Amino acid sequence: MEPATTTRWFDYTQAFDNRFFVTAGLGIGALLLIALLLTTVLSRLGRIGKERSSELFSRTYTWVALVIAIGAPLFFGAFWTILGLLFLSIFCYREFARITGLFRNYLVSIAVVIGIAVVFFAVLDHWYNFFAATSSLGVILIVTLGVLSDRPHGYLQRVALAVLAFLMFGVSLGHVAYIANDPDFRSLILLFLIAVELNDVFAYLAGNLFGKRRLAPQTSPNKTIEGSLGAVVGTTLLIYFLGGIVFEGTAMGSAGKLIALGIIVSVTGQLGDLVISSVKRDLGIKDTGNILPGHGGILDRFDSLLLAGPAYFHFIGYFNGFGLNEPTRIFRGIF
Amino acid sequence: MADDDASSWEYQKARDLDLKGRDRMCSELREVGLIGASLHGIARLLTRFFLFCFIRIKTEGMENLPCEAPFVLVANHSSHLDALIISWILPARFTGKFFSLAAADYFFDTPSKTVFATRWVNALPLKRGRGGAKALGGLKDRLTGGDCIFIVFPEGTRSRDGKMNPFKPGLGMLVAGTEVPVVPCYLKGAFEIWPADRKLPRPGAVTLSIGEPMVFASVANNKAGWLEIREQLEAGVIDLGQRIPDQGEGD
Repeated sequence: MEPATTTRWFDYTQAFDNRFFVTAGLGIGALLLIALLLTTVLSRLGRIGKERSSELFSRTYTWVALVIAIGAPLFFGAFWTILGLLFLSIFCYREFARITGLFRNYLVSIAVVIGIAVVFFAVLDHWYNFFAATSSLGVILIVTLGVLSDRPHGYLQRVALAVLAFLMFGVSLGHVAYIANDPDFRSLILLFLIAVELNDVFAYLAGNLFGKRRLAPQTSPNKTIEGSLGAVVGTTLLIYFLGGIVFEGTAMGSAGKLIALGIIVSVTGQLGDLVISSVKRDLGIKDTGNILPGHGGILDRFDSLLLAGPAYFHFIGYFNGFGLNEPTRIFRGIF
Repeated sequence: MADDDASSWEYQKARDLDLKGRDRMCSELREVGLIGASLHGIARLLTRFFLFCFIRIKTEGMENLPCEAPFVLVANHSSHLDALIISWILPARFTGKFFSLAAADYFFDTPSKTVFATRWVNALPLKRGRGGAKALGGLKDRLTGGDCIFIVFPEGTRSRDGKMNPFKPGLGMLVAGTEVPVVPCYLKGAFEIWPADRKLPRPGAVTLSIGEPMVFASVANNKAGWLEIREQLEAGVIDLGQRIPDQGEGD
């Protein structure tokens, strides 16, 4: 394995040299601390009810846990980042399978898990051609393995659900993971996660302040057109300023491209949210799981990444590319 | 499932979707996905290896085992190994689908026992004693609605002297008026290997005899029906036991 790869995969000292990563990390830490303090003070003073304060606490603690779970792999290196996203992808599939009933079919589930593993192998190996092929190969794998149980009843349903899950979780999150092949992956992925998560916050705030006309009352009754537009404005400003730091001196560093990226991330983030909302509405459930206290399931929390990931990846990829000078097909050296 | 509704999509979310942690493990609604089935598969392999070292198992009547779930296996209960031996002989394709019904008050009372019972044995809790019909409702729903296999020991507890105790009628509540086949089994030799008063098992030979499946679709789901089912199953299991030829024990 070449030294450049080892450094990117495992050298956490590089994290300290990354100004954006350190500043943003400290900023997020401070923000969570303030949130905790504020909740503590408000509940001590009796300004918020008992139920409300315990809900706020569980929400904040979950955020702390999430920030550590996301921040630690990013800090320790690209290898752990890719591994972390692989687990995220599999856990998203697990929740999807449990709400649709797909989990009872082990053969199809195995096909999806193998498909996801192959996507992440291509990512880890830094082998773009194969990575691009995995989406179609994975679909073929699922469709074929689905035949082997020799039960045509329900074949179309389970194969269709499995293909959807594989593309939504494996391939989509695989795109986010592929960013880890760039030496500057810490800033690129962190910027993406901050933008997508704050996109939800902007939509919520703007919706509360100006919300009048409902966006998609059948799918998600709480979303408003004003909230949605507010999120676009907020996220675009955020990416314009933070992206200005991350992309300084690269082809992506111009105002026009940053504004375009902001709009793309905001719109696709909200669409991803609506996709999972539609799935939940169709199945008649409120949350996809209960693993994150105060939030629901993993899929409830990370739904906005699903469409925004590939969009973010390809837009930046077109102008800057990812890890163009890094060694490719890394595992070739082992054989 | 009729052919004419072949095009309609049905979703059945996990029955235990709203539960988590120990509540989920202690619920008779616990369902097993790929992760649980893999863990159980590994546990089964390890158990097989362990049992293979000091127990010889002979089976009779394997052809009586239904090819498809759901069905219920009913056996006499004389040692802690019974459930493990029966799960040993079940085909691998049933991994994650068969559950031993185990006493909730004994196997699910501490966290460590709960983890062992769910992850290693793949047991579902069965509340012993009165008020059973309600507790059994969830189990019956699973049996008729899903493709699962239950291993049940209707004596309610292990035999203390090697002789079979009378069956309890609770099992009838699960299968009365359903098409679910009930397969009587008889385990001979397990008591000598691990009697209730010994801390650890000793080497030996076991014979597992599997009888022909019985269906109780026409039996009424009431007390009289449950007692009738109990009589039939008890007679079936005793009959199987008597047909196993005696063999030299512990050689």
